This record gives sequence, C-alpha cells and structure tokens, in this order.
Amino acid sequence: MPDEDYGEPRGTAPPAPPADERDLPPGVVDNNGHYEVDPALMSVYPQFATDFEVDRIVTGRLEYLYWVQRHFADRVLPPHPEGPGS
Amino acid sequence: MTMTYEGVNRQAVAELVDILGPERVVVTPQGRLIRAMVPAPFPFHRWADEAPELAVLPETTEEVVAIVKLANRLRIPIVPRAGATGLNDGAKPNRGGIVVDTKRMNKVLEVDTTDWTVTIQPSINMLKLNEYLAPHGVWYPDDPASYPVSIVSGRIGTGGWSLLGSRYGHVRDNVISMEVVLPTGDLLEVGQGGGRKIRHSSTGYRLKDLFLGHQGTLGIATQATLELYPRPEAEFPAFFGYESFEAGYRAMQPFCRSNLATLAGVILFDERKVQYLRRDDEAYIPEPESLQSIVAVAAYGSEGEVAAARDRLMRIGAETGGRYLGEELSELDWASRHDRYATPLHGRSRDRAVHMSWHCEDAAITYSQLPFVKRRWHEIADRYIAEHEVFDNWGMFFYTNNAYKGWGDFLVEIDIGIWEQRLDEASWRAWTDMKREITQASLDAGGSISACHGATREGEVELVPAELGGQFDLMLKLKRMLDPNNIMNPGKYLLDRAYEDGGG
Repeated sequence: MPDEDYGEPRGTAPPAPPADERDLPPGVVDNNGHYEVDPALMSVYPQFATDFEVDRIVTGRLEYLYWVQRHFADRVLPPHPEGPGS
Repeated sequence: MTMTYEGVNRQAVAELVDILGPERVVVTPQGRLIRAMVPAPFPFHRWADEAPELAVLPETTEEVVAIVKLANRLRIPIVPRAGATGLNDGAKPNRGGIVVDTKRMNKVLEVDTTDWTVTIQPSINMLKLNEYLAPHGVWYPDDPASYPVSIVSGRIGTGGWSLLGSRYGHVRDNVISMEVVLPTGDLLEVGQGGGRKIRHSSTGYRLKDLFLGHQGTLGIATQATLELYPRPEAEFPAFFGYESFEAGYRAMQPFCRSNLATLAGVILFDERKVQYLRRDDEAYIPEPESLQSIVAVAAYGSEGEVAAARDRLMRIGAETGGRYLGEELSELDWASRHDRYATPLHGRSRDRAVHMSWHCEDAAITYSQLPFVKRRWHEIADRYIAEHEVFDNWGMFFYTNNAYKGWGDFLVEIDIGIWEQRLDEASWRAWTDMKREITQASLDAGGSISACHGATREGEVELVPAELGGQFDLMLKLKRMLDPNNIMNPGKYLLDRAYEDGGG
C-alpha cells in the first residue's frame, strides 16, 4: 500500500526510526519489530524478586481471586454445613 | 469462477474517511500489524503477510452497513474483529483488505427487567456487562476462560463454549436474537421466529444458529438481545484428588449424572496436567505424588439449592474414593479458572523456562472415547516434542460440554506450550502437522474438531469437510448465496471453494 495514497498518518506520532537505530533497554528484544521480553530471561530459575514484590504479587493475586468470587455469586459455601460462614 | 480482489485504494480510503472521519480509519503500520495477531500460536516470521491494509473503527450499525456496502462494491476483503482473544483465526485477515474492529460498539441499549433481556451493541466485554447488570440483580452467564478480556460479538462469531454451560448453557443458548449486517450490506434481524425477545418458536427455519460460529464469514453482528438469569446467591466449588487418571475418569460419571440442576461444570485433570501444575512457581498443588488426577466441580444458584448440591457432591466425592483437596484450594483454584489466558506465565517447561505462548486443542468427544483420545493425543504430542524443543506437553483437561446437563460429551483439551518467539518455518510446519494428527484422532473417535474455538486454522481446517460431509457442501452453497463476491473474511473454512468452478 503506497504511502502516497494516504498522505501523512492521521492522529499518530511521527514515524518511529527503524528498530536497529533505537536503544533497547536491557532485557528487551526486537522480534520482527515487536518488542518482547528477552526469551533468555525466561529460563532463569528461580526468578529473583524482593520480599516487597512477593508480598505485592501474592496480595494482589488473592484480592483478584476473592473479587472473582464476589463477581459471580453473593457468597461461596463451605464444604460442610457446620463450616465457618454457614 | 475464481474471485479476484482489489486492494484498498485512494478511493476506498476517501470513502471510509467520509463514513467514519479520519480518526477512525487506521492506516499506521502499528495499527495494522496489531490487528493481524490472535492469541493462538502466531508465526511471527510471516507477520507482515497477515496484516490488513487498514482497519476501521465503526460505532453504529449504519456505519457498518456503509463500510460493508463499500467493500462489496469495490471487491475489498473485509474481516470482522472483536476482542481478538480467540484461539482460532477468525479475527485476522487471510487476504489483506479491511479489518472492521468493532470494539467501539459496546453500548448497553436496554435492560428489560420485565421480560429479562438485555439488548446491547455486542462488542461489550462480559465482565463489564455483568458489572452493569449487577444492580438489577441479574447477570449474563457466559463464562469462557477469556471472560475478563473477550467480548460478546467475538463469542457470537465463534459460537463459543462456557465453563458454566452445564448450568446456564452456551452462547447459542443465551443469544436470543441478533441484528446482522450481511456481506452485501443488507441488514437482517434473526432470532427465534420474528420476535426479538422470543426464546422459542416453531415458525420457519432455525436461522439464528447460522450466525453463531461462522467465524466472520457471513456477517457482522451489530446488535444482540441476550438472556438474563437471576444473579446466583451462592457458589460451591470442590476439587477432589484421585490416585490415577482411570479413577478420576470413573468418578466423573456419578458427578455428571448427579441430577443436580445447579451443577455448572465438571472438569477432569489428567496426570500430565497435574505434573505440569506441580512445576508452577506458585506451588499450585502442594499435594503428595500419589495424587495423579483431579475432578473439579462447581454449582451455582439459590443458596438452598446449592447447599443441597454441596452435600450430594461431597458425598459423591467420598464414595468415588476422591480426597477433598480443601476449602482454600477448591475456592481459589476455581476462581482462577480464567487464568487459562495466563497459563504460559504460570507453569514452567521441562527445562524450567517460562514459555510465552501455548495452544490448546478443544475437540468435542463422547465420554466413552475419552481414554482413547487421551492416549492418542499424548502419543502424538510427545513424538513431536521429542524432535522440537520449542514445544512442551502441559497435560489435558476434560470439561462437561452438554448444555444444561453434565453427561454425554466433553470438551477435551491438550495444552501445548510453545516458544512462540523461536518458531521458524520448520517448527511451524511441525506444529501444523502435529495439529493435523491430533485432529484426525478426534475424528477417528467420532468426535468434532472443535467444541469452542472453531476450526479455521491450518492443520485442522483441511479435515473440516471430512467431519461435516454433506453439511460442508451446504455451507458452500449458503456462503455463495449470502456473500456473492466472497468479501466477508475470505480464505476461512475452505469456503473459497464455493467460488471455484462447480463449487457452491
């Protein structure tokens, strides 16, 4: 599709320079013009995380899961009638 | 007759700008390339070949009609795209052309609290729709794994399956009627008979189903009227562990036949799935090695009904030799059912890498054939994985598939981890060959290729005529009748054959 058919792109930033002219931050790779986490980092085990990050992730995760339950039903029943919350 | 297409030329762009304004005609490389992608395994090395020539962002039915009429007149391929979260290829172009990105058509038009329907512009996300509906005490229960991210019109286009289908039905059961822009630009109201809010009619043909699961080949839904249900008072999920796949498989039957109207779904995990989950950094299943299979169940409804269902399900679990895995695991793992779209970020592969993509096959298979399919699929997957390190076997799930009942057939899923970034032409070939063998095994078992995603991808679509037989010939005739110029998502489902000499 030749550019002369369209003129300048509308409502967007000026065209970015070619990928090989840009400085990519560490851990980012250019995959056919698509920026991704360097696959090599995905093989690091265990991944390093600070206690703060672990707490943040676990807390956020639990908040999300309890939100899902409230989203789908008013309450979740325990496994036995005498259980807490029944 | 072989169809030839025109590219998107200056005239087409000018007319589209007249219809939509310049802000809603996307011509930038980024805007085009991103609309070539779907979450299914994606061949980055072919990315540029799969991009549309431009994308448009309509907001009204009238705009969609004008766009489709233009495309039909100028013979430009047109591809409807909703959330693009599907694990098939419906939302990306095979022939360039115009992608109609419908995500701005997301308004709630009417909540009818008397006849219990909601009428929407269908490109609204189900989660957002249910937040809107919650104050009315009602909900729309379509619950795919992609629930937080997919949108209703995409679910219509794929005719999708719901995790809660055994209680609330699937998409086909909960879309009451639709307004569809046909490939010629004509507008069709289609439902059960003629009434927009009628749930069952015996007048005429059942045409609504024709516009559910067509993968964007027959039209663009611009309005939909959906079923509403009372919001559940209570939920009860329970996970039971078994010491072998066979024990879990046998236990499914009494759960599925429990005669509980509130039973929303039963899911069996095989031993490979359990092994995979044990690799999870989050210690997903801190259970002894003797646990080799899991059966998960969930019930929804009024509190009294769900309490009674709970008692029966717990009894069945004990009677089948299952070990209840605890309240925390049952509740939270059930709540994480939508994490399927983050699966690659949870488990680690054999070499402890976090693969960044995955794919799951989703055949519909009868209960009696599940052991055969499980054995064959694993044999096939393991053979390819031995030769290609970009793949990994993440095990299998078996989900209840029958609407409003737990028995009969099951959605069978094998998850294949894929290092998508490392896919090249050779491994892409291997992937499609693997997929083809898996698909053939499903047909050998008397099953259907897809229970949820559709079957338009290379490696499966070649076998669609074999599955459908004479139904496929009728599909060709219908396609040619409704889309005389083959402009609506051409190249999908082998429907181009309708336009070959003697076709259709």
